[in-house]
Amino acid sequence: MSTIKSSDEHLTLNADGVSKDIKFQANGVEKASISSSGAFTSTTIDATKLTGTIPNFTSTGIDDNADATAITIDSNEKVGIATTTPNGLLTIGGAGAIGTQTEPAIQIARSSGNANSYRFGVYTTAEGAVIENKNGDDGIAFNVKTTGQTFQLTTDGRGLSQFTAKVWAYVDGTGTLELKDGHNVSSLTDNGTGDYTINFSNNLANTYYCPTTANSAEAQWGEMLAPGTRAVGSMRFTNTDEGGTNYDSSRMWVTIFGD
Amino acid sequence: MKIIYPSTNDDGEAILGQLIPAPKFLAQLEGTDEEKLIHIANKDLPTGTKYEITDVDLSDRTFRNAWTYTAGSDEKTSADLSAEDLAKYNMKENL
Repeated sequence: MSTIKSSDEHLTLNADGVSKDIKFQANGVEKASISSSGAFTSTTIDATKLTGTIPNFTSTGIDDNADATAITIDSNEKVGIATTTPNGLLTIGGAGAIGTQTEPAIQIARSSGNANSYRFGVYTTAEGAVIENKNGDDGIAFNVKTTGQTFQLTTDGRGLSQFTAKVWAYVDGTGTLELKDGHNVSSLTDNGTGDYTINFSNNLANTYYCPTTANSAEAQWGEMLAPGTRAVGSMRFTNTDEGGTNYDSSRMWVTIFGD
Repeated sequence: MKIIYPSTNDDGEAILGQLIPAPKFLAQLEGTDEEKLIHIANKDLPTGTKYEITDVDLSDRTFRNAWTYTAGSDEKTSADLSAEDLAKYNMKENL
């Protein structure tokens, strides 16, 4: 037998029997029910009557354990993260807007929950620009609105653009040929007195690059360092004395810009 | 250590060529010192070039243009780079 009874301040509705539901009807038509397993079912729920917060809310797709407002959707349908007054369609505000390398403001992670494994991260502001990690091997590319990609920082430390040197070298041609310091140089070739070749670690796109050379005269004021045969992977250069004869110099500099 | 090999000067005369590895590039390679130099020879010398790896002191350049290459007992021959290395160095083909 089904009963409705009051015990103290509680009102108990009880459906006797196994797998029996509590049903709510209006004019003989079922509007809601509570199953024997506790599931509440209704034909409609008036959401305007729902107020207050639902602590530790979880559903199949959402798990909210926040203890402060994390996401705001305002009356203009703008979404704010860490801000309750988003001015953009999506605004990341507050201290989290400028993150750190391990906790960037925006992150696409390679594995869930691992702060150090993201493949893309923006942790500073760059108005009008895009900073992207193309993939693990291609380093970081910097794009601007009109030109597109203008600069790429490779994983081996090269900065690829038309405004960064593709190659530079400080060469000592006396004694055993020596690269004092350099960038994108795999080796130097000693072709004879005053005759050298720079071999690039990574080839350039073509031979229309722009080399600039300089030396610091040691014994003869007329010394001249000049670029010679160019290839995509190397460039020959010669140092001559004031009489035009090849001459070894200890202070020779080569810089190359190009594609 | 350095790589020596037969080369020619601007006048087409035979001369000793020396290939000196760049320290930074050398440091990023893996393997023994000899393996690293072999890799550089494969990269920066035309395929099939005879060469030797040596640590002989050649700093006295008094008669530099008269030096010529003579094959020694440990002569090697430069080989092709792998397709993976070609891509890594932005090279379309071996030298």
